[in-house]
Amino acid sequence: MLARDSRVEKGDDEQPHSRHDRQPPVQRTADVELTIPARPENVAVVRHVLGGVGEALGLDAPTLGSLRLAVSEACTNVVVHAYPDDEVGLLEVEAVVDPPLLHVTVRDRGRGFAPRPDSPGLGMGLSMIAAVARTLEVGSEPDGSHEVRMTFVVADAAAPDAGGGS
Amino acid sequence: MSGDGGSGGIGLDGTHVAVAAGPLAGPVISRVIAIAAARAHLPVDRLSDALAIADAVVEHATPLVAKERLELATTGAGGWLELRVGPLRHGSAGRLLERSEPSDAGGVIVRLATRTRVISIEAGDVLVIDVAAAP
Repeated sequence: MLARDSRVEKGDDEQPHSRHDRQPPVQRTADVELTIPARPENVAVVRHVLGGVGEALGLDAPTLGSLRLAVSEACTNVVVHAYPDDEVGLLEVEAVVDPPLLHVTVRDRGRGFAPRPDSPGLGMGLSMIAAVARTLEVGSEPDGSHEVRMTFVVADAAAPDAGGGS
Repeated sequence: MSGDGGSGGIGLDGTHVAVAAGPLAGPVISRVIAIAAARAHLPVDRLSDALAIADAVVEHATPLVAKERLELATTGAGGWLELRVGPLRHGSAGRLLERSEPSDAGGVIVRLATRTRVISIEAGDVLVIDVAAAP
């Protein structure tokens, strides 16, 4: 189980190594920002849009699948855990193309990953993300938001302003 | 949809997306509009029209954006879809719609949309495009 404000990074042997120092966030305007109500049906919207980003960048099939899975898990966590049952908060997703990496951030402005004794999930979402993403960071920001930050390796990806992607 | 004064005139009750001008704009905008149109229960032909509008928006509105990114907000239900594009540079949204040749963006949008209007906010123009189940 990841602690808050922790980072998991894959080593050369592709086994995740847990580190507790945080990498500074990517300092540039996101190439894609999506804000949508944190409802179960909207997880598919995020998955579809990020899938389109991945396809435009020419991700190979396994990486594209990993991206869709990881984003779906992170968004589902927000839908299930971030807001009280009687409140519909916002789910925010950002993508930054920074070759050879794609940085994806899933953010909520609710209670983040506060454990729910009545959680309907299996508690494996972050583990799955860690298994398929290049890196995974989980933490809280000074403005009170909570973020899950993931990176994926994008082979031969071009920055959007270079007109790349297949 | 929330009021025109919120968040630069683009409401957040539905979906809001901002995408950098470039190769990601088309895939992102078309997917957002396709899903919104489906959820608004538009029939297949009107969903196709919404996608044609999406293509026109991406191609012709992207150069007019006021803040380096193309922003879109969608809401819809019960056979009605509203798209809010912008902010665009002041005056540009109206000029875009005035180009009414069939091959122009204005021609595509005006012909396929149920209604169009331009809202002026501090940050620029917001182009509002309504697509109803029956044109």
